[in-house]
Amino acid sequence: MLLSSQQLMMLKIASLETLYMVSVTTLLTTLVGIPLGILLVVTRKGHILENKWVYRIVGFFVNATRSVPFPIFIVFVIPLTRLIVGRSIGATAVIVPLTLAAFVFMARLTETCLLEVSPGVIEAAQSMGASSWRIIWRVLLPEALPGLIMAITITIITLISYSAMAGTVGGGGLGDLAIRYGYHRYQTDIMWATVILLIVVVQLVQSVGDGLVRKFTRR
Amino acid sequence: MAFIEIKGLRKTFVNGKSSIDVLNGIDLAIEQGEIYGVVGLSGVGKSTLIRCLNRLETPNQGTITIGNVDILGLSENELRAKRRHMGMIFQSFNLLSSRTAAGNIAFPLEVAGVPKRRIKERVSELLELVGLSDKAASYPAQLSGGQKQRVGIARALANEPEVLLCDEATSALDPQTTTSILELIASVQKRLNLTVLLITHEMKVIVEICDRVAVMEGGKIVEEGPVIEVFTNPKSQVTRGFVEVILKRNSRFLENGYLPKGRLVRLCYIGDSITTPLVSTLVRLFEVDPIILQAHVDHIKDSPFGILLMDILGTPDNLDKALMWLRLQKDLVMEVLN
Repeated sequence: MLLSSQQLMMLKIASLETLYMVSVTTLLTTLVGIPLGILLVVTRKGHILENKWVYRIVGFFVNATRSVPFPIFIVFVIPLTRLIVGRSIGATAVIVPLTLAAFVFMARLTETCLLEVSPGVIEAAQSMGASSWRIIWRVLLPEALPGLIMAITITIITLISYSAMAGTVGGGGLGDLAIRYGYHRYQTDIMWATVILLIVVVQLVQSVGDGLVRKFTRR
Repeated sequence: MAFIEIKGLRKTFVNGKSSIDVLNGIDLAIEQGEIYGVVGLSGVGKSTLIRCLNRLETPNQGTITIGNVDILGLSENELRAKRRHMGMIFQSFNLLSSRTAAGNIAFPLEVAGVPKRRIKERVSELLELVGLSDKAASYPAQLSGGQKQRVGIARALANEPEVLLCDEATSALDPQTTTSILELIASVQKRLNLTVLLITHEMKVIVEICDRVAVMEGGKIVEEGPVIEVFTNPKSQVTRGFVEVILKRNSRFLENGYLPKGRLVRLCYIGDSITTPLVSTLVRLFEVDPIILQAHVDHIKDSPFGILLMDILGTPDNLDKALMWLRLQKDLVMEVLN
């Protein structure tokens, strides 16, 4: 089946919207989520910057954020979205709830990766007189790099799927197109086209991620 | 005052309501330039002890001084500076898997703020010192256990430490590799005049390279002294156990209830006495007939050491004279077993 030029245009716009939302969100999520994940690891009992209260408070915040279903979360953070981007609808506005929901997810994934770094290696760095800062930058992060790349890949794919819900606040994107035209208006050709496009994009992201993981794995 | 002095060291691990006393008042004095071994079964606290020296573990009580520096009194910053002059190697090597051999050796140099150019030079010196010049670009996953420990040693020596701490450094290696790693430790110790403290559960390690040994049990040191003395005259049950593993002092003949025909004698030779023609002299001078049940010659560090189990036959008068003569020999410890 062939799509009309108008439908192709809609697909193109929707793809660009998805690309915009996912790429900006991924960047923000990584910038905030990884440091938060590091905090969750190093403040743990017995780790290099053990701090019971920081660990508990950050952990509670992460869990609380992750408990709220995403569609509700979008509505829930509207006041904050208004405050940050000046409005509550549109693709830019969706970036706020997407980032807020995804960076805590990223934080937990980062935590899991960093906990895989052998305590012995950290101890060896301590025995050489390395500071905690250096251990984070020169030991934890490089050692966990393949895992972190995998975590970012998973986050991007999750974001692509989450961004489909952006339609509820007029964010647009591929998922939104599939729901509005494909589902509500029975234009199955549009639905199929978006679904196939999404599958291709997700496969692509996953293979790039896997390739990078292989490149950086030294084990 | 000794180079490393440990006094009244205590450490208790608290886990919820229960607590375990891991170190129960340890006193040790280690001289500059010696290889000091602490041997004990697993779980006696020796690992905790060595980790207290660079404060990877903080003791509850006691003092540690290394080269007149009070280790437990150092601030965090001072401690980091001090640690740069104390190398440590580990049972599981603890190399960074994301860095090559050269990158791993560079790590402590980066920590110490050595300029990049100098790091490069120093890394190739160190790779050569441990015999791994051709493995500079290999990642730990591509190296054997022995090669990984060589990288570990090079890394520990990078900042020219005064002390080398070896935490079960050969326990994960096969016997041949163990020997080559021990030889490397002994040779760098000599060349750099290092003070080495090593802990192990293998008496073989102590025998091959240590000058002095302390035997640990239940968080305490039960026996201490020059290896040869502790070896030839073990006082405690644990030490006897360790020595027997190496020397097989318990002969099968004795275990199987051998009935001696004359006097059952065990001789321990130390050093030069090993080159005395002992048995033939006994035969010639005292007209006794020794039956050799067990004979074993080995080395403790650089001195030869031997053990000889004999059943000596002869007239009572000749036997008494023979035993008397044996007793008078220098560097020979005799036990009459019946």
